[in-house]
Amino acid sequence: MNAGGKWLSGSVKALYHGAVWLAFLFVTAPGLLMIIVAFNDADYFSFPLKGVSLRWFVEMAENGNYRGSVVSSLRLALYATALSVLLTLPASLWLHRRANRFVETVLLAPLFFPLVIWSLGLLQLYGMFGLSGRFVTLVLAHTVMVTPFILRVVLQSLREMNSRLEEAAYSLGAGKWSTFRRVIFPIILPGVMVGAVFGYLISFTDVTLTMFISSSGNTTFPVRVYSEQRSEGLNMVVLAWSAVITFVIFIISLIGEKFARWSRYF
Amino acid sequence: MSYLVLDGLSKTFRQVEVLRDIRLNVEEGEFICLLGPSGSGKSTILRLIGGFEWPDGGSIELAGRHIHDLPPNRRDIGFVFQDYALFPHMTVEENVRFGLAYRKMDKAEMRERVLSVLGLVGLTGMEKRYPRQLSGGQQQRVAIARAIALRPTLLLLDEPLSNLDAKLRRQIRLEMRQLQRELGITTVMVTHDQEEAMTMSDRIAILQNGMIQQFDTPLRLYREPVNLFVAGFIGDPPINLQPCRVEIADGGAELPVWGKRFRLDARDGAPIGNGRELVLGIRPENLRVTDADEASGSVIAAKVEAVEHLGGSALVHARTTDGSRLCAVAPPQDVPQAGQRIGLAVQTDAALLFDGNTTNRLPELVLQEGRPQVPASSTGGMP
Repeated sequence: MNAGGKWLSGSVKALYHGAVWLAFLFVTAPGLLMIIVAFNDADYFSFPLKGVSLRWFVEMAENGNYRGSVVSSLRLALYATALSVLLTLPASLWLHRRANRFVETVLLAPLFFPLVIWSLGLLQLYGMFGLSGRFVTLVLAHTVMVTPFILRVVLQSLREMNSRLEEAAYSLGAGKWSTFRRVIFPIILPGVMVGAVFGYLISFTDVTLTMFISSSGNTTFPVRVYSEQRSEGLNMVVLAWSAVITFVIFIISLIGEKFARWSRYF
Repeated sequence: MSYLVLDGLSKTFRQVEVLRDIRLNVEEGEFICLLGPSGSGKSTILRLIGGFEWPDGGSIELAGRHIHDLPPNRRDIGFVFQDYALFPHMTVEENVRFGLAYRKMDKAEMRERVLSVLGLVGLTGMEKRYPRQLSGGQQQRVAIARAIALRPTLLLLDEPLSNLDAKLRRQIRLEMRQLQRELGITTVMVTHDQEEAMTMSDRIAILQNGMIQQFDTPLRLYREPVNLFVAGFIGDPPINLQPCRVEIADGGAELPVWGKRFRLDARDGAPIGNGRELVLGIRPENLRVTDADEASGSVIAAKVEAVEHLGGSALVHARTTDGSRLCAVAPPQDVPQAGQRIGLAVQTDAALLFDGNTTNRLPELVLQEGRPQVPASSTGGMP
């Protein structure tokens, strides 16, 4: 973590460590706070805690509305990610072989566009085709949203792969499909997984795009939290869900880092 | 018809001509090296044969069939890569078995083949290891086993020893050549290491600037190089080369060089030409260190500048009276010291003469002893 530490003198070092810890705290504080207050005994958001209790988690388990939203979010993210991976694999193989910078830039461009703008565009487009307001529409929109992210990671892992492996497979008699199945895919699989997890989380946490595309009927969890927060104020059940989600994502990121060193892709 | 025929291969990458009119005939069972400095096109030839690049012109014929328009997986050629390119997610056994899946073979037959090939390369018992658990030398053996398990019609080796340390390289060099002879498998290897090429090959193709300069046995390359490039490239320590100019005097041709006037003869009455520019080449082992005052027609006076002891012999770096540097090999019991005045006896029949303009060797010219002179050292003419 502190590679340059050797040539830093004592006090500078202490200052440096202090700054690092402060930055760490600054980044993690909101997440930690959300987890801690979910155990609050009060009926409203308060810190420090009034008392520790699990009552909001119990209510969370009993409240079907929120569970429905969470499940709908999970499903949406799953379909969108799966569809995107299926599109991304052949696309990235083609891009890797042709090294076409222009096509690559166009495919990755949504990474840098304001989400609001192309959400509007997407809404108009789907309207033209009469696709508005259905779950399928939402899946398509989310697929479009997560694809650049997944493509980037998959393309990166293809570039990290030794291209001689592909040639070795050919020289041993393997055809294109066989080479993909037996050599390329197993080697880029960690990258594909990282891309998928990454895309899944982006889809799962999205508010902007979903707000634009979805009709009020099939709301996802983030959209429900956002709109309720504006109309009715904070619901403690939301805090419990937030704690669970934050915790799960935290665990996933630890696993991702340990097994796939996934931070190198970002 | 030869076993492998490259006929007029050419290749251009981004307007740079990498290969020009490559012609090569390899006989069945031969071990051939493509030797040349980096950028000479030797790896491109190998990749063209392997099918990883397409030639712009020319044809490749292997065992009687045209292969240059076949994809690499249908050429039946084994390829060993410089970095071995072992599949990292497969065990040794799975790596070696990889290609057998595309042959009509049952499970037992495959297993037997894998085990016998691993036995050949000395890796019995390593079947379940992954490439990352093996040393560099072991990985190299797996790469060879994987390539020969298919009994290919041709084996291509791309600098297969360059990632190994010197001692291991020597050992594997011998083993590989022995294995190649046992299997009788026609092999083409790319290398930039002349010692490797000299010790392993039946014949060597020397490449420079995308062209084959000479394709010959190691000994003929050494003794009868076709041009200055081949002469300078083959041989370690390198050949001594000295530009000089012919002078016609007293009815005979003479070559004033290294403070000495050698006579020059031409076979079959070929013309020599007054003032013609030549390059005289003499290998260090064809210069014998003698006493400074030995008066003979073939002894050059020189002063030792530095000595490199190699154990079994020593390299003597000396400067002649006309200021040229020469390197000679001396036996260990008779090594002069730096600063000492010595004589260097030129073995004239081993001298090579090249045209100064075309750089081609002139086999019709023969160097002869000069007239005996009073040694330079006794006149005190040393600079």
